[in-house]
Amino acid sequence: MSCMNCSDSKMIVLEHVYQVYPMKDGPVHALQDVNVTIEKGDFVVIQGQSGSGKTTLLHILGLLKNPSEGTVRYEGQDCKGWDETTCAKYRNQTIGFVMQQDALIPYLTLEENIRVPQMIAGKIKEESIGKLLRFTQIEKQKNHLPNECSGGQRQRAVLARALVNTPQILLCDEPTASLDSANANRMVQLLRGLHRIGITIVLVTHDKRYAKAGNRLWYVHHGRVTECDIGSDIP
Amino acid sequence: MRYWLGHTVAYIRYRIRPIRLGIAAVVISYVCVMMVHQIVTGIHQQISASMLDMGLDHVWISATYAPEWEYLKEHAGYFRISASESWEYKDDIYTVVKSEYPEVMTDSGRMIRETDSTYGLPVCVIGQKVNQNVFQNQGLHKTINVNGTVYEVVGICSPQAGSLLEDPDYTVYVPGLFVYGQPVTIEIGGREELRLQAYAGLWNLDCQMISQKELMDTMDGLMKTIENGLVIVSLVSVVIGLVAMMQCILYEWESRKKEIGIRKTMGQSQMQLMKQFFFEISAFLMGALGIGNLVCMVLLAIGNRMCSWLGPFDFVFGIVLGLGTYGIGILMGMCAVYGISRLDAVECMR
Ligand SMILES: Nc1ncnc2c1ncn2[C@@H]1O[C@H](COP(=O)(O)OP(=O)(O)OP(=O)(O)O)[C@@H](O)[C@H]1O
Ligand SMILES: [Mg+2]
Repeated sequence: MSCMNCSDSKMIVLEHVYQVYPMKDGPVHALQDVNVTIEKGDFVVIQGQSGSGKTTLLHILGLLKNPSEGTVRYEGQDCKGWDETTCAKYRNQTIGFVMQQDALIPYLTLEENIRVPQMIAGKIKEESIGKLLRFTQIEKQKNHLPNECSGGQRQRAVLARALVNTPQILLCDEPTASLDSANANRMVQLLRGLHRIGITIVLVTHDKRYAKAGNRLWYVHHGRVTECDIGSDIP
Repeated sequence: MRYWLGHTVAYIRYRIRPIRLGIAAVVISYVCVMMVHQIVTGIHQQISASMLDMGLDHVWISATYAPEWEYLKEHAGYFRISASESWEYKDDIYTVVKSEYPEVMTDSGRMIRETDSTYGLPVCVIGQKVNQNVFQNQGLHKTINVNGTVYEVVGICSPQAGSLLEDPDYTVYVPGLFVYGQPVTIEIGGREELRLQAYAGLWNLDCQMISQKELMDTMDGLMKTIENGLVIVSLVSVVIGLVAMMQCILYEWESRKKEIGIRKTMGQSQMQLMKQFFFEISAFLMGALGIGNLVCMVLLAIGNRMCSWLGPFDFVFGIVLGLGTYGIGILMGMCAVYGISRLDAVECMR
């Protein structure tokens, strides 16, 4: 486990984070009093029932959403005052997203899709794209449109795209949900490999088999996050 | 930049069906406006040319009440028609068959002679003010068209004293070319209005007098009005075309919204999104305008074989219309894009 005292090893800190959606039939408390810390080099697996708030938590971790209440610190800085452009830049440079389902732009080929974050950053590095295509084993399909590829290939392309700007942290929202077990295993193996080379990973998954894929396990229940011992069973 | 354009091309390839409809809408409205413009200007030029052929010295006079004029012509012999008498209806006037010319001097040229009446020569003598106001003092040997007959100005009267009611200087003397050789006096009761009076109070004909130049100016004005109207109509139709196109391209909300969500998640800022869509909309508009111009040129090439007056492609109008279309398109498109690009990434991907 990483050292809790040295603040520079802390990647993300959430303090008393609440997320409330005001609805007609009363407010929905998607997150309640979340206090968590992600250290650099962590591999956090998040599990919980459907609707418990996992995706919401990931959106807040990924600066896609401001929480209704509470503080989000990225590498020690409070994100509250950050404007749209700063957040966008941070998302582009530091964070990699693997979204819940099909998150490819339908009219671009896999390769073009993977290139998008680099285009946004304004620097194209062809060799890194080639490397990622090889790493995720979609070299053959690189000129195919997303709807001409299998679900596994698409999901790996999403992973490749998340990695193209060499992010420090990778946020994965059920990347295995729509995959068969072979493809799902392959995906988790890729993530493990990335963890080994030092990328911080947050993986949301329903699949109990992957509860111990990382070095930490969080359980989300009705918007509350509890850290579980990796040895113990999930409640 | 190369890559952003690449995205535009990729998008066009992928969504060619709805885009085709949108582009067709713009092309059709553009071509319609352009062709109507060509037709209107063609007709305008045609008319102008044929009027210029006649020369600018013409003056047109037409009685508002043509039947009276015709009657007058037929019965000219029974009337003593002049501008300088006190007008009172007298029965016996009908029987006066005396030829009587106004006793006026001419400044230049000559007065109407009896032979003019006898032989029905198309000559006339005009008053001072007619000469000044209608012909800018250059009236001699110009022509006046009275209800279709062209009279040559052979003389210009000296100034005469008039009364409140009549101004002899506003008079055109035409020989009574008809049966009895009576002089017909046409009195112009103002700058443009020509009053032809038949005494007896029976006929009081209002005539219109207009010079060739004025006629052309009037027509030019009319054509300008038509063209201005056309510009408004064209703007409306171009806007309709553009709305159709935007409808097809931008308001494919479901597919585009998700894409925007993805792009925002990847860290594409609002500015970059706007830039990307700017390229995209520009490409569509340019494509549509290019096709529109091509269609216009082909149509004109064919049209000019049938009616040559359509004339060559009006590049100036084409450029103005094209720029207008492009400007409005970009404006509308970017407004729509601005709206979408402000949405939050999570909302977009929902
Ligand atoms: N935009 C929203 N408006 C209202 N309620 C929302 C909104 N987004 C999420 N919620 C609610 O917040 C709660 C948590 O949603 P969230 O998507 O985080 O669940 P989840 O744990 O990811 O579920 P799943 O495993 O099915 O993806 C749910 O009860 C959901 O109804
Ligand atoms: Mg979810």
